[in-house]
Amino acid sequence: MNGWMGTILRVDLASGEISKESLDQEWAWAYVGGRGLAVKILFDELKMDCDPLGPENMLIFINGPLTVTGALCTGRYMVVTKSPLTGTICSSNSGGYFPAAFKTAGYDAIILSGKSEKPVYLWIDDDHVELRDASTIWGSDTRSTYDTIRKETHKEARVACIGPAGENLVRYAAVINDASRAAARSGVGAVMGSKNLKAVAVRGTKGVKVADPEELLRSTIIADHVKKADLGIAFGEFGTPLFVDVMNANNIMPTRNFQEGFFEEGDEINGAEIIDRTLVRSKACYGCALNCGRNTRLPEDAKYQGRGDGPEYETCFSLGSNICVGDLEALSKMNYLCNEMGLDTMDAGITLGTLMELYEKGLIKEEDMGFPLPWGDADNAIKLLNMIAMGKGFGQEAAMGGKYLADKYGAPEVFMGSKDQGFAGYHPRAMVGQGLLYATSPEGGNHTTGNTIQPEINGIPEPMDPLTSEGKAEMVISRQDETAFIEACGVCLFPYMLMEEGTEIIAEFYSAVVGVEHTEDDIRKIGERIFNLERAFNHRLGFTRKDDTLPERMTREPHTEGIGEGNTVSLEEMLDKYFDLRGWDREGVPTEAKLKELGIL
Amino acid sequence: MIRVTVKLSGPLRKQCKSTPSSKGEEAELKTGYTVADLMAQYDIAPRKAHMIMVNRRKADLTTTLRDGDEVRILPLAAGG
Repeated sequence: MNGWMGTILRVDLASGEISKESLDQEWAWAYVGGRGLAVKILFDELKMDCDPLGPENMLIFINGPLTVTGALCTGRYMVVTKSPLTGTICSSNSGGYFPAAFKTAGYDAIILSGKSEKPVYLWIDDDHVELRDASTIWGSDTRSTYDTIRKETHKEARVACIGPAGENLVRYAAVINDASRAAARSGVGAVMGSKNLKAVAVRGTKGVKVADPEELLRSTIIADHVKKADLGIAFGEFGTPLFVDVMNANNIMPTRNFQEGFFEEGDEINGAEIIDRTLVRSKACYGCALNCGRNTRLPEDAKYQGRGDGPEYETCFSLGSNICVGDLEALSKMNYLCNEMGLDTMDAGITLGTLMELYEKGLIKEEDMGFPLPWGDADNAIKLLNMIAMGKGFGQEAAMGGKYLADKYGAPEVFMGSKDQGFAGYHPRAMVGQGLLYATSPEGGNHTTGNTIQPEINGIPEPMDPLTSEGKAEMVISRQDETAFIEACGVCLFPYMLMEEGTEIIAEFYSAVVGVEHTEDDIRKIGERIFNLERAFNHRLGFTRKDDTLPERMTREPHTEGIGEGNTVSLEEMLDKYFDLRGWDREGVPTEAKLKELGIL
Repeated sequence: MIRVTVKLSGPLRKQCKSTPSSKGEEAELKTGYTVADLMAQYDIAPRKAHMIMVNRRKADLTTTLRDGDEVRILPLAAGG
């Protein structure tokens, strides 16, 4: 097999049984890998009505055929499961070096089922696979878990693990790999915790066979091209926090729980400030040409202390502008804490934003939480993040997420998300295509099932008015399908998003790796198949148009001063067109004809 | 003469006259100068300015600057 390793590892955590099976090549052609192949496996095997935190749920670690090949930025993997936060299919992806070890150990996927009686971790050393006792590390943070497991196994082992948040079933707990990279979203860490699985540790020494190595050599030329492009240079130097300035300028940096799109203190938490005040070095994932990661340390005389990775742009929004924290040191401290505890910084920030607005409105009181929580109160935010991860006091309630809290305290309208997952850092009122994308994403508020920055903000390939509905249904469909294919390949979205010709290039890479010619149309069709199968999965669980929603803040409350002032999102109008173009009925259900056309039925 | 605040984002901040910063610095310009004139004063090639904002409103190279304006010049964006 070219690209794929050809083997899937299955681990039944209840019985301890470990088995290997051959990858179904027909499925691989149809769904590729990553979230595509994983949703196919779950669609066929998962008991749909299972409790996401019960033993019947399945958890899939999966890479793709381009992972660890000579293509561009190939160090990605995904964790796919039924989400305890959204109740839908979810795919949470991450970079680092774990994905390369995972694939070169010889596996395309690891399918975990059941629940272990006691805490364990999975140790994979190429062909050797065993479950090991994790009782001594249960309760440890992700950094010490990483260090301990490497001491117990091999100094070259790569580790993906949960922290206390996953163990305590926080609905937005992350899986942290390489001690700092996060498969953060949708509560995949809680599913891991529910199975008493502390970590997956891997050492891989095998190679990946590709059909046309010479063609892949071209990627080094393309990598050079990307690095020298304006955006490539900026990415490497400033990382994703570069975009604080751009989002703020476009009035789309969510502020005060999405009440506004401009953060007055944006200049205090942007990429330049990180370089000047906290940056130790930039970091790259396996096979990366961009180096967008940030390793940072707080100054010795700072109020807060610590060292770690981040913040990324999404965290500058979620734990910065969204809760009105304009102090880079406090923001970084919260980021380190989330990484150590195994929390998604994004839904952590959405949860805090929900609570701060409830507190501002007098709907939740100091006595409910044990402390006040006004906008910008970093000290109490840090205290609460610890309580959430450790399952202490009010933290147990806050661990359920923003939607739960907004409902419980009588103001469902203050939760800023879709399908119970918090939004990413792009305000839909001044970027309405992104609103449609959030509403129709299989896992709700999310920025990795596609984003609309390139067309709506950069105006590439053609200028597009971010404030109107015109052309948005077509554009969102195209972004969602292309993204589904790229993610299924097991590569990073960034370089392919940075290049105007990104879709063409990934089609060429894929063809060169697997040895079968695929055009841009072919890969879009695969992406469409994946996206439709995710939709069909969710429909089996009862999700329809009624769940493709945005808060009234997006659809009724006018945007605040700046670009897009007075604007709202005309969601229903866009949804009609979107469903028609998707070949779904007006309730958002994929038609039999569409599913047959895509080979799903 | 007029005085404006200049904010250069991302790699463009190296073009600042004082310490490289995206927080902004004051610039003195002749009355009637446009954004293009300001960029020439800062040695910024027009193709490097993917987005120009004056007082948080979209502007372009031909926008005439006034005393007290805040000019922000930005690179392309991505997500993440």
